[in-house]
Amino acid sequence: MSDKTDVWQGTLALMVLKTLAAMGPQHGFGIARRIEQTSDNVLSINQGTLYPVLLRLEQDGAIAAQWGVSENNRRAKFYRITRAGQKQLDAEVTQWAQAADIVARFVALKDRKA
Amino acid sequence: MMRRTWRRLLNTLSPRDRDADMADELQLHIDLMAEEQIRRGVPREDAYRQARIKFGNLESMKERYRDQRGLPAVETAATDLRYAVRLMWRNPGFAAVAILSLAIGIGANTAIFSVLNAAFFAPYGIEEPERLVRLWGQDLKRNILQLGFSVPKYELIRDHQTSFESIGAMSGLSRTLLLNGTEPIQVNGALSTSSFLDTFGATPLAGRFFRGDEEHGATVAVIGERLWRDRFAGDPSVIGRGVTVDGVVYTVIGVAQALPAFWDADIWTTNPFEYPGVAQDAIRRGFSYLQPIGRLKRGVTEEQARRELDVLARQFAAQYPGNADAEWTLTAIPLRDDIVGTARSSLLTLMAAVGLLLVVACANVANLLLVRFTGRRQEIGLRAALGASRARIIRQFMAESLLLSMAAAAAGALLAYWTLPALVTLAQNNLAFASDIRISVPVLAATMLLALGVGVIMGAYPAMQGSRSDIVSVLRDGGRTIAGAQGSHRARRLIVTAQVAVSLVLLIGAGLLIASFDRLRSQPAGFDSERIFVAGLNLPSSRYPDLDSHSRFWLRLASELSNTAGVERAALSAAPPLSGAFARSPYALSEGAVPPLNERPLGLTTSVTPGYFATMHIPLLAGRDFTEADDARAPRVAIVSRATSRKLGGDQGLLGRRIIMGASGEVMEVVGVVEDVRTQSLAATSEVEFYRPVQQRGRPFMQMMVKTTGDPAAFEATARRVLSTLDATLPLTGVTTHERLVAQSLAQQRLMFVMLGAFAVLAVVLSSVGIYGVVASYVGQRTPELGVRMALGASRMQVIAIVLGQSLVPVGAGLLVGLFGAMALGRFVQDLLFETSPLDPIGLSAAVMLLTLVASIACVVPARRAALIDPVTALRGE
Repeated sequence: MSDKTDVWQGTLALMVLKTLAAMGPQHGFGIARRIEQTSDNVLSINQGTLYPVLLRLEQDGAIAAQWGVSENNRRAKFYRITRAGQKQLDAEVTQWAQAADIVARFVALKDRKA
Repeated sequence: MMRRTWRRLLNTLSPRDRDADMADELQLHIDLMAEEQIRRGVPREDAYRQARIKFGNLESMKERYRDQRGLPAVETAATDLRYAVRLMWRNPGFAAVAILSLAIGIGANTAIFSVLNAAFFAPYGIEEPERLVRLWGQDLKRNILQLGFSVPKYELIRDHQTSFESIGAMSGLSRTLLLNGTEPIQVNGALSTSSFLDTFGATPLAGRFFRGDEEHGATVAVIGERLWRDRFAGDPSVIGRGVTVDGVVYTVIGVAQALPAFWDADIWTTNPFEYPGVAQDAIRRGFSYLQPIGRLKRGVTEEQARRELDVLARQFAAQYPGNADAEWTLTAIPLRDDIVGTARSSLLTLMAAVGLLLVVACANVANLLLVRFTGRRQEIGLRAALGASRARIIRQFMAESLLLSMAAAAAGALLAYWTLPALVTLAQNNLAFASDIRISVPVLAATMLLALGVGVIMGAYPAMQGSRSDIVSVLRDGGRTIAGAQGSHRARRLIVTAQVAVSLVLLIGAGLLIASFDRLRSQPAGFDSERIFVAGLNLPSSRYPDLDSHSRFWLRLASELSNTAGVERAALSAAPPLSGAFARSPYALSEGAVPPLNERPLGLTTSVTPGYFATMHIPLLAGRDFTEADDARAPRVAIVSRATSRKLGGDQGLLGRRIIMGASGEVMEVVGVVEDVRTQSLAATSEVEFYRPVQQRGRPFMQMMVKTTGDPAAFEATARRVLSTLDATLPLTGVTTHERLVAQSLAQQRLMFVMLGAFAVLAVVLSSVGIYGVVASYVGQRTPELGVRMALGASRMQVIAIVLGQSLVPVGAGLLVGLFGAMALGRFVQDLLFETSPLDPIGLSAAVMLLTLVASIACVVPARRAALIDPVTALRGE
């Protein structure tokens, strides 16, 4: 496989939503690229997982899709975040921050000297 | 989640465009990836190749995407169903046999569901029927459990109870109606409290019901729905018109809907606390003719109501210690239970019977499916090789099974719809809820549910078998292998065993009912029904006010009828045997210490005219018949049955001794003893039965019994002509023959044995088809082997013996299992049997023999075909 880190299960949806919230409507390739760029190319987005996540978010009503024209003049499906998606994003961000905070505290514990 | 499922369902419905869209989207992704590389200087071809490699397997991704997008279960189910329909279409013979088998089983269930639904769930068109209870008096000492209420008792309960929102009472009686000066008609009337119809929760179809102030003295009437539709064409302007009821004019104030069972009446009037022909004094002392109902308050249970009634019963006993009904206890029975009554055990038996019939039908189809599914091994092996999962293949088989069961449910519902009118006609006279029997939405829903269950159950095993396939061997052998068929053959023999066992249980059940019916019908009834014409007659109190006028009329009618041409003899009786009418009176021997009135036992009491016993051929064993001289001024006399004479008088008999009878305590001399008669039912003689001369115990309602020389059914016109010479305004009611009355008294038993017999016959037919199928396919599979045997010198008889040996073992096992099953289940039909043991050896052996015979025929026909195999052809086929 690649030397890049795969995206952790469950966090991809958060990344997709955040990307759309920050950068506006994007097509699938764009979303993947932006996420990889944001992670300084540490993450590699597997298309096999990205599209199912997009589909699920769309079915949930967190994002909406619209056909538009891509930068290379092709028909492309653009996704944008909906109000429900924004709400879901806020909730997940709060949750994530909490989880990260807790983990950080554990990481910060000093090891007892043997 | 709901929302996602909804979208996926929508997506499922329009899959085509979305596939194209998806392809576009994914292709764009790949192209953009490639272009990015090209911009970085990678050669064009390499860039695309790398992008495609990086992207992964496009097709498998599309597949996953599709699965997630739509509901794959629905999509594959639709595909499975389409495929199943196509397969069925290609093999209509198989489909027809399977669907017909199942339709018979399911249709029988649908028909019985509709009966059960009417019995246990029919709403009767009234408000909250579940809150209605019927109140009964019970004389536990004398073991009489269904007694009416006397007026004082009803009043006490009405004034003191707290469990009921309201209570009401009615008493049915036959009424003569003059509608508008036309011919008089005899109808079912009801005396009711002003509260009765409202308590019942009935709805006025026009006008209104009674007001509280109309309970006494008012001459207002409510007419019943049936009379309204038949005689007034449902015209609402009937309100305010006058009708003459027993000679008194009443004003119609409303129309009441038809009520269930025996609660219905054609004409409702008030004044419920007076009864025509019964003195007010007797009414106050305990004449118990009122049938009360109560509507429970919300949240009050029957149990609570019963406890309160116990208290009130004690209060009544303290307040009216001398009354005939003082010591009775009281109970409350839910109206529905009361209406279903004794039919309950019959209904449950029928339900069990149709359940068993369905098992047989299912077994047949499971059998067919087993052959069919295992016969498709090659196809299944191929599909498995191409990557179909076993679950997917099982789903495909289940779709076929469900398709069959659903088609059968539709056909079965149709069968039930066609046969139901016949069933209702059969049930009309002995199921109180017969008119509520119909195929309704809940019945259809139950049928569909049943069919669903049937589809799953009968398909399950064949699907498991059919889907289990060793791909390599199946493809290599070209499907010829019979190794797998061996296992399924074992399963099929087991199915035959089950079918035979269940059929035998049904057959034995039907056999027992038939034996019981036959025994019942051949009971010595004690009377001779041949050529007896029966018709009822009611004397309105307005023109026949007293005992004298009654007896004068009855005696004259009897003598006029006797002198008519075509009449051998004629007499009248207040309660002919098996007519359903009877009355009981308290009695005591007028010797030594006489027990108080309310401790005296009750005996059947009938008023008759002189000559009654001769007319009915009831032998007079001792003493004399009544004569015209036994009138109101003469000493009181009675005739008793042989059993009564023996029970009360011991060896010495009762002849010439005195007994005290009735609430008024008249003392009478026994002047005759007659043979025992089965008055109430053919099943048993009445223990105690008294006859009294109509001149001394007058009745406004009597039935004429005319022994004709010709066909009694043709006597009606003559009877009317004779009657009109005495009183042209009197209508005849309940015109029939005594033979018909006897037949009617057996109607419920007849209904049961006809239905159970029909189910048993169907089960046997279905089983024999099943046996035939198994043996035939065995022969088909073994043709090459049998050919070899014959080529090596086996005789035809030997071949037949081989085949029969194979098939008769499961049949024998089934007979054994069925026999034990029938013995174990016997006690459940015990209630329905008359003097017939559930272990009746003749019944059991007859059923076993019949089934053995049918099974043998079903085996021998295909076995014979095996014997006719031409060895050469058989071997060449291999």
